[in-house]
Amino acid sequence: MTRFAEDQKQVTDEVLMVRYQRGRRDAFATLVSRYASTLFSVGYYLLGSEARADKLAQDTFVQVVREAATFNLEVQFRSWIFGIFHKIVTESNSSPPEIFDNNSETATPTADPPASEPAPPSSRAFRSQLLARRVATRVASLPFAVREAFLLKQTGQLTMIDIATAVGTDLDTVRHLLRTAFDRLQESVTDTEEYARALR
Amino acid sequence: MDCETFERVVLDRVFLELDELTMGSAQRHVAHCSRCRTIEVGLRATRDVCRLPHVAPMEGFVDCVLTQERQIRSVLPLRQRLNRAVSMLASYAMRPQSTMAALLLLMIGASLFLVRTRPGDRDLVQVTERGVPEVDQESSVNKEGTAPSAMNIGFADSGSNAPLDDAQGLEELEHARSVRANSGCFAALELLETIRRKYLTSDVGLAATWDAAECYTSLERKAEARALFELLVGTHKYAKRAKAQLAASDTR
Repeated sequence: MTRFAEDQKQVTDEVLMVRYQRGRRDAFATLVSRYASTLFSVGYYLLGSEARADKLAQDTFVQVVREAATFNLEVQFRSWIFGIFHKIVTESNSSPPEIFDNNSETATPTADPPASEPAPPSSRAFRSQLLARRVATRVASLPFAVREAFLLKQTGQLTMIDIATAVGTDLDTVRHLLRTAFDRLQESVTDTEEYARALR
Repeated sequence: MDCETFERVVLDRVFLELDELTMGSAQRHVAHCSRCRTIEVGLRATRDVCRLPHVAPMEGFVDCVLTQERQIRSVLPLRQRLNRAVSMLASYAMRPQSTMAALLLLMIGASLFLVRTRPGDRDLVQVTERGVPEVDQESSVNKEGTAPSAMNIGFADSGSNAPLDDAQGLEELEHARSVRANSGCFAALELLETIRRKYLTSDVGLAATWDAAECYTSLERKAEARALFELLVGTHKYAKRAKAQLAASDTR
């Protein structure tokens, strides 16, 4: 690895974006590497489809390229890119999503966690996989806005203020959405061993 | 802090997004409020348990995005390309070495533009006793090179602005003038007369005539002075002054 590539790894997203604005395409490549998985994951759990998540993530990056000139250092890059992400997902979801019924508590999600190495039953890894599946199912049943806020927080690692900026709302609304999500998810995991362990 | 306020900020506290002051206030509240403590503990546990694993994008995702990026940038509108070029140039311009080089070039350019000609390259300017450039007043030259005559002593070329071209004559005139300045009119008169005759039709000749006439006046040799002033009345440059001198001599 070159010294230059190592340098790229250490700089902040904002600096990389400014470098890209100045024509450094390698900076953009680094940003794509950093955010590909996060955007794809949020899209996947939000829409419940790998194909749609892939398109959503790609569209987001394409829009980042188009709007690169408008980025300024006054905003966090993470907040900015998820703002673009939110805009695209909102526009594409002007009609109710194909997979989820936003208001249904009993919707059947297809956004299971990715299949990893099969763990032997009764092992901790196996229990974790079951728990993740249960959480994913419960997340998929949340109303769209609540689900999005939860995923931006837990998977996207945004602060609540960044979420408010990204989705264009105020902090109290974000608090309310997240509280709704956590209260509902709590109900579905209270009987698990992991929850009991976390309480200790 | 009361329970209502605590409930409002409990998620901020769970995600460590509270400012120090409110964090301390919330800490004091949960220390004596078991209900709020239970809520907070439950939310923390939910936060830890409900973490969804990251999903890796499909293979070739990054390459696909970069390919699209290349395509978009190849068809960027002119304005954006211009902005990008300006931005790149500006990033180079901000480097100290580039700035210094630009300053150096600017200084060299400015010095070439504003460089002054050497003193030797300039036209010689003679100044009369009154501080007026002599060349301006006495630059008429007999272009046709007409033969000298008593009444046509360079008079035919009156009004000509041709510069003095007889460097030798000028030199001689300067010498005569310096003799006049140092030793007086008597000593200079002979030199002035010689120059007057020698360069009769040129500016030098006219200037020598004028000087000789002045010398005659100062030596009280009025007849000779008058004769020379009358000659100069026929010239364009000296006519006015010569007439004034003649008028003055008539009144004396």
